[in-house]
Amino acid sequence: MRHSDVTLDNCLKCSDCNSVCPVMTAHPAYPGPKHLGPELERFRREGLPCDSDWLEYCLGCERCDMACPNQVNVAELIIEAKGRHKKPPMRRLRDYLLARPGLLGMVLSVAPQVTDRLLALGAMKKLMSWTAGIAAERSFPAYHRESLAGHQGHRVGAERVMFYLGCSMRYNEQKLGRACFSLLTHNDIEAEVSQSACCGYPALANGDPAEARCRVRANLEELSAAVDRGLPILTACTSCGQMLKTGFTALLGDDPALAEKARKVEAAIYDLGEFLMLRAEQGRLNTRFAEIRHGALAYHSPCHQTTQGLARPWYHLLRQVPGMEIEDMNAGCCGMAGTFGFKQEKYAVSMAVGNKLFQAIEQAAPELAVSECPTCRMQMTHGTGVPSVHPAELLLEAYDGKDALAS
Amino acid sequence: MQSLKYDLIVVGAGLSGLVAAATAAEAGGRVAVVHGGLGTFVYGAGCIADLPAEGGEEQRRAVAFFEAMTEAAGSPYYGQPGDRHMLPTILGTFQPVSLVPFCLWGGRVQAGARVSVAGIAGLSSFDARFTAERLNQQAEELGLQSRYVPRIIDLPHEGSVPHSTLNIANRFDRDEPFRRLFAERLRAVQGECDQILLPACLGQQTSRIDIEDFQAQLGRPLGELPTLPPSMAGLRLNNRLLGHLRRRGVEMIGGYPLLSLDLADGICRGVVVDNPGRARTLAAKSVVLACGPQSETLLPGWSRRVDARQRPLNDQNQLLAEGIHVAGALLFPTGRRGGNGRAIVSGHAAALMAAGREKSHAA
Repeated sequence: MRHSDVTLDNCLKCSDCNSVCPVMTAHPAYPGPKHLGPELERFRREGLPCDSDWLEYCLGCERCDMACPNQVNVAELIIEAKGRHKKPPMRRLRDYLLARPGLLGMVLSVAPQVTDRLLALGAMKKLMSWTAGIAAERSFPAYHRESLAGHQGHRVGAERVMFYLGCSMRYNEQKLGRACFSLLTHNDIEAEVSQSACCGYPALANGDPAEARCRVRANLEELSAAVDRGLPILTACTSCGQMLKTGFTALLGDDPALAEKARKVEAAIYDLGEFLMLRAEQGRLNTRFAEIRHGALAYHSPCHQTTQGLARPWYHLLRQVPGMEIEDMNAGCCGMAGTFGFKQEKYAVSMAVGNKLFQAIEQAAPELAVSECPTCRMQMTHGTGVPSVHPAELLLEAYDGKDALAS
Repeated sequence: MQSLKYDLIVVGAGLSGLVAAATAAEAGGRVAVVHGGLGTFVYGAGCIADLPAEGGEEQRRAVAFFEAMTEAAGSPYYGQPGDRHMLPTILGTFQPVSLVPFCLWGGRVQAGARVSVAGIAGLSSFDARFTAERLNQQAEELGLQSRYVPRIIDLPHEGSVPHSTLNIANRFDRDEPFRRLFAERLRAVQGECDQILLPACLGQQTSRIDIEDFQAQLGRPLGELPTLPPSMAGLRLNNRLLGHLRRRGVEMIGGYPLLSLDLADGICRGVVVDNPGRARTLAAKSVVLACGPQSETLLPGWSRRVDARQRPLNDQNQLLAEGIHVAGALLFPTGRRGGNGRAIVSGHAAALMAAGREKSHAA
């Protein structure tokens, strides 16, 4: 998302956005970003009726934004339209819940053994598909009770950062969180775990800007206090990163009392890979890597890493490790798009978008699939059966000389 | 640990920039392309018509590199500098082209040929009857011995989706049975012809092998006619080249315009990109500016002249800064017959000069 004040007149109707849209590629009836973004916006500004059910099919990958030669903020216009889109009651209820992974996580991780067993039951899946429109083909990630908090890797004189977890790491992937803290400890960095909850992106993606505003407003104070203490804020989730770098000004920027804080926080957000890569460039990264003995690794770069303008920091870091055989699939969007792939009526589109990536992974026949984004990882494993990891776990292996999957 | 600083940052993802990036990557450098979105490159078809037959050593090297690069990308070119292959257009004119993208090659004028101009019923951006009629008139005026006959085929719709070149191309990419059906329908109407013309819609990812497979089912040469944007000929070339660059390790950093060059004390040390959250400085040993005539503002004080190594000069003919080389349409803002040839030659040269290799390579 770009917040430069770009007028609609910059849209020349060249269709570059349509040509790179993964949904258009897989699903011919989808009208595409040019229509759902700039075209509907014109109607909206005139107060004309402009709702479309197709708005729900936008993945939010923002490839349209990246392609536009005139810096039209196509994806942001679609998000705007999603926020005004009217849904039938059952879809509205389901999307209300999917917009709040923090709330879901809090409830489901109270008794994780019960939750996991219940969610894995065939009958339960069918029931959720009929009543709530949750794709029966999908498996929910396992929930855990462990809560990550406090100061990790404390040592006198260590450099300090704030670590933003995100819902996936907070409720499901605590192991990845610990791996990230260890990586930092190996570099003499102490991580202060942020207590901030959901970044608000799932709310935006599900057409709930009010909830997204609540989330960013709630997170602003803790994060801006951290910035005032001189701490950079790190996250290992690329979608959280994208939201934390843009969402505060997008949602709170019109309030003069908050705009300054919003900009300050956004400027202090780093993807963990971006942060480590910067240190590598400054010669301050611990590079005492043990040799890794793995089969082939298939790497997928998430859309929200590209939209941060980061290129592929983790991929390049991993390639520095002796023995690491990692190949970039370069097969476009995975189609999961966070909660999108969980929706029954969108499941087929989600899988059709991901098909190119699945084929590439199957051809590479890797031991592991690797990606920064938690839902990209779910999709890769769902579509190919190949287990998947965050690159941080592999880098930690290189420090520790231990297998990432053995836990 | 090897250095993570870029050896070369190329600004601009048009033909010149992509050739510069490929040149540097081929020599093993760490290369990034920074761009603000797809350029005008994808609107055209990548035809090269502005290179003379006797172009000198620099041109010969650049063209040889470009031919090898496009071949490796699966989207080769045919023809030589100085050639005048007459290519039909959708407006019913003929365009002389020297180096021809593979998907257009089968449509070039061949004396005495009977040519089927295949239209697709319901495709609004192409009218086979209009094109064929105009081509016949033009052919007669130019004394070209070929005859054009319109043929309309029906392609099945997916649901109620109207045909567009993009929809047909996307389907061509993902749907094997559709490709076979498409070929069958073409075969059924082509009649006694020597060549087939078709609006460019044969996939936006397709390689030479895919299109040759398709052509083999027709039993005669097939040439695409580039359409209005989104033009599959240009998009396909762009997609193939981007895939090739990524396999060669080039990093594409797209979607955000450059704020400025990182200039201090007469040296350029990188570029400053308007990324989300904060502007990011990407450090590089050299920068190639191949971002079109609109980006002059990146070089305050530039006289529009360059030295023999394509480095920008100020009004006193002094070097504006070390570490910058200019290429493409920024170097040649007004182009006759397009600027693709000069984009390739200057892009290739700029990358060699940035690496200080222009001499050794010539030897």
